[in-house]
Amino acid sequence: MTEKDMKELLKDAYRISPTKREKVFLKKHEKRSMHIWDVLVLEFKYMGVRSALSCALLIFLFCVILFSKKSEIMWYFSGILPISGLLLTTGLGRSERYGMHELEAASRFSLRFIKAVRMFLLGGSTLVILIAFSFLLQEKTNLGFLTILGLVGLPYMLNALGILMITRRWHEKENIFGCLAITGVTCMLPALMEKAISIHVIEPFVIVIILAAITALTVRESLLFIKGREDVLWNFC
Amino acid sequence: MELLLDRVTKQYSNKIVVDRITVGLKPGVIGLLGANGAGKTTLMRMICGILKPSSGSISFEGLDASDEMYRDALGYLPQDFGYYPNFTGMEFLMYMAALKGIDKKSAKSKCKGLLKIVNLEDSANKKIKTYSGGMKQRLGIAQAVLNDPKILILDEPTAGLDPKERVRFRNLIAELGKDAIVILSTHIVSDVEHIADRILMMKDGNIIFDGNGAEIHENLEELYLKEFGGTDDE
Repeated sequence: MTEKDMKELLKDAYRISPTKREKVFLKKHEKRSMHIWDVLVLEFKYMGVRSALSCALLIFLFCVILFSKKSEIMWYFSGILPISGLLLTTGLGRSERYGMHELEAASRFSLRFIKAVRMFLLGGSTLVILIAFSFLLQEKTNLGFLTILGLVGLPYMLNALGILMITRRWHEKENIFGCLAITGVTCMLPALMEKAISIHVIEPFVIVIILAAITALTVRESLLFIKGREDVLWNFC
Repeated sequence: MELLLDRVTKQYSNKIVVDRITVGLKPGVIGLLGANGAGKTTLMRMICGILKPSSGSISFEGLDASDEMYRDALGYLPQDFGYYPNFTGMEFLMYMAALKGIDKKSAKSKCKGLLKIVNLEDSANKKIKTYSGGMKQRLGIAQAVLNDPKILILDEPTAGLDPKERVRFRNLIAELGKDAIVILSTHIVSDVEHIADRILMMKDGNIIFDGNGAEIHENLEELYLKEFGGTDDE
């Protein structure tokens, strides 16, 4: 055995394995006290003016429904709700639009996590509102909860699905035009649905089934979106 | 403490931007020199864990670059960075502190202290959109060191700074380099020649020079001019 080989052997023998080094480092490096809930609150706080305006719009709609005696109010609400889906686009693309994505990606809570939090806040809160409104609309329309959820939720969910599909495949800022087009179409959908139901072309329960299918597709698309954003991030040049 | 880059490669279709770089980095200031397009920023992004290497690995104390705890020990100043509209300097730092996992109470005192260090104390509550380029850069430097990073990555940090600020900044970097691995990327030799403990020079995705100590001061400028032609933008 040459001296060089001996040196290499000794070097290997005294080298601390990465896992041990990792343990030593983590022991010394105390994990910071910030938790996932803190990030939720933080992102909610920084959601921006558009989100605040959207909330105001939804509160206004809530009041209109509360004091309206007309049953058609359900269709108006169904036609307006997809607009809030546009928030998804503006909210999810915020980091890239303002050039914060690299800073956020290099922070402890990765950009993927931040995007997931935003999606949860924007999509989830609208869903909660949708359910609350459906309860409220039961009295005005004499329809069942699930039927109302299907009639009101379908345009919104279709819009959310369309927006996610567009933003996942089209990464340029111009994707907002595609999203606007989708929103425009879905806003008009309730008018068609009302007509179709009144002439018995389609039964309300079919719409509920379609909603369930679209919701499943939206969940799938959301997961792909979160994963896909990381891929985009890992590969931007 | 050691940051290990093991045969790190980044390839875009048929173009190799970073070519099998293997290097071990210990605490100190490491100057990464190279002309525009040499692969510095790509390498920096990979070290930051925001760009996945096509092959090879990056680890710090056994932690992979994609690990949450790796990022927890990281400070990064990108070449270009933005901010959310209506953010004041203080709000920006508080937001970054939260993303770095620092609790509100200690973040507030830390942000105030850093704003003082980077000479932005008087502008702390002014909107960032009213800041000059140099002020924004100083704010970026402040956010990079918020979490007392063990690895500090600075991509062209002196861009937009006036001569007085450059000197101040160099002193700050030299101080930080005592307990952390500071990687400073630049194409200006004078930015690093006096403070760097080690110089890595990149060309076409490869490290063409790896030197330290006295070796640097003797031939760095000469070597750089020879390799990159000595044009102003390089």
